[in-house]
Amino acid sequence: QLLTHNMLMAPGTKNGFPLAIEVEKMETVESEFRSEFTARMVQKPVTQVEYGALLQTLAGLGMDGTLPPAVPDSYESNEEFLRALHHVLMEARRVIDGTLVCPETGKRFPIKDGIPSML
Amino acid sequence: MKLKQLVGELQGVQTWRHPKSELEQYPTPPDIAAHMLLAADAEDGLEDALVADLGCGGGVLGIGAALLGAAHVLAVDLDPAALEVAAENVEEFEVPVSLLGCDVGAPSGVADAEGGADAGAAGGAFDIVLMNPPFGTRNESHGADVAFLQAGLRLCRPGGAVYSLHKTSTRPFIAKKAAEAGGEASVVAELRFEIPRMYKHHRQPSKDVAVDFWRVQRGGGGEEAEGEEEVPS
Repeated sequence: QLLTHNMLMAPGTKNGFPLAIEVEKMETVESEFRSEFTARMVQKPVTQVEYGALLQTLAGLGMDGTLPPAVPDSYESNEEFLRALHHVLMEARRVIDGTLVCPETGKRFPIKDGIPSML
Repeated sequence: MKLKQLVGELQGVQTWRHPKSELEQYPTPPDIAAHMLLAADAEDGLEDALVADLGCGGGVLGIGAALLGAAHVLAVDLDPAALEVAAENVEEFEVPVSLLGCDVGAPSGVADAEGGADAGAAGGAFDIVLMNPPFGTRNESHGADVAFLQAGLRLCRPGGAVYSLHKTSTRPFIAKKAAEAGGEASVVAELRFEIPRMYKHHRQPSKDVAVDFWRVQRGGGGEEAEGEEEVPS
C-alpha cells in the first residue's frame, strides 16, 4: 500500500523516487486507525518532499483531492486530516498486480500478489 | 504478552520449504524470536511502532512485532520462495505486514538517509528494525552480516534501534562496524543457536553456535543527523 510505496526508491539511483505506479489489479482493505502513528508518519524529516511525492502518486492513481495540497498546521490534532491520510496510506489502493516504474531510468519493477520485487 | 504465549503463537509461523544454502538461510527459532521481540518491546516499545524485518524468511520476527502491537511492519527478503511463505503466514495471522522483494545487501531499494530523494535527507523512518541476517560464512553471503546492519541503521529514524544477531566470534568486528555507521551498540545477550543439519556441506548432525544479540541505536536523538555522522559518546 501507499505507506510502503512512499518509502520505495529504485535501487542504485539518486532520484528514483517516487516510483510511478501502473495498476492492473487493486483492492481496498480496512485497517485500524491509529491517530498517533499516522501523525508520526507526517513527522519524518523530509515531510514536505514525501508529502509532495504522495500527492503526485495520488494524482497518478486518479485520487486527486483526497488529501489537502499541504500538510495542515496542527495536523496532530486534526482528526479529519489524519483519518484521510490513514485511509490513503494504509487502506485505499492496495496494489495486487501492477508495475512500479522508476522516474529516473524507466526501469520497471513488477508487483505480483501484493509484493513488489525490486531485485 | 508473556514469553510462553508469544513462543506458542510464533510456532505457528511456517518456515520455508527448501532453504538455500548459498543464501545461508536458517529460520529463527520461535523462542529466540520471542526473546528478541520482548527485549525490543521492553527497551524501545513495539506498540504503535513502524518496524522493518530484514531478511524476513517466513516473517517470524515481523509477525511477532505485529502481535506485540506494531502499527505497521515492512518485511523484506531476497528470496521469492521465502516471500511466498511469508505471505501465507501474514494472511494466516491477519497482521499489518507488507512484503517487499529486495536485496538488503545491495544499494537500497528503500529510501533511507543516503538514498532519500532529498539530498539532505536526515534519517529513515523506522522505529525498530529486526533482523537475523546471514552470518556471512558462505562465499556468496560474505559480508552480508555487516551489509544488513548498515542497511538497518540507515532505515532507522534518529534514535531508532536495530536488533540483530551475529556470531559471537565476530563481536569486536561488529562493534567496530556499528560505530563506523554512527550507531551506539551493545550486546543484549549471548545466545546459543543449535543449527540442525540442513545442507550438504554440514558434516555434523547439529552444531551449537554462540550468537550475540545486539541492540544498535541510531544516533541523532531528536535532531537531524547525516547518515554517517559520528555519535558523541
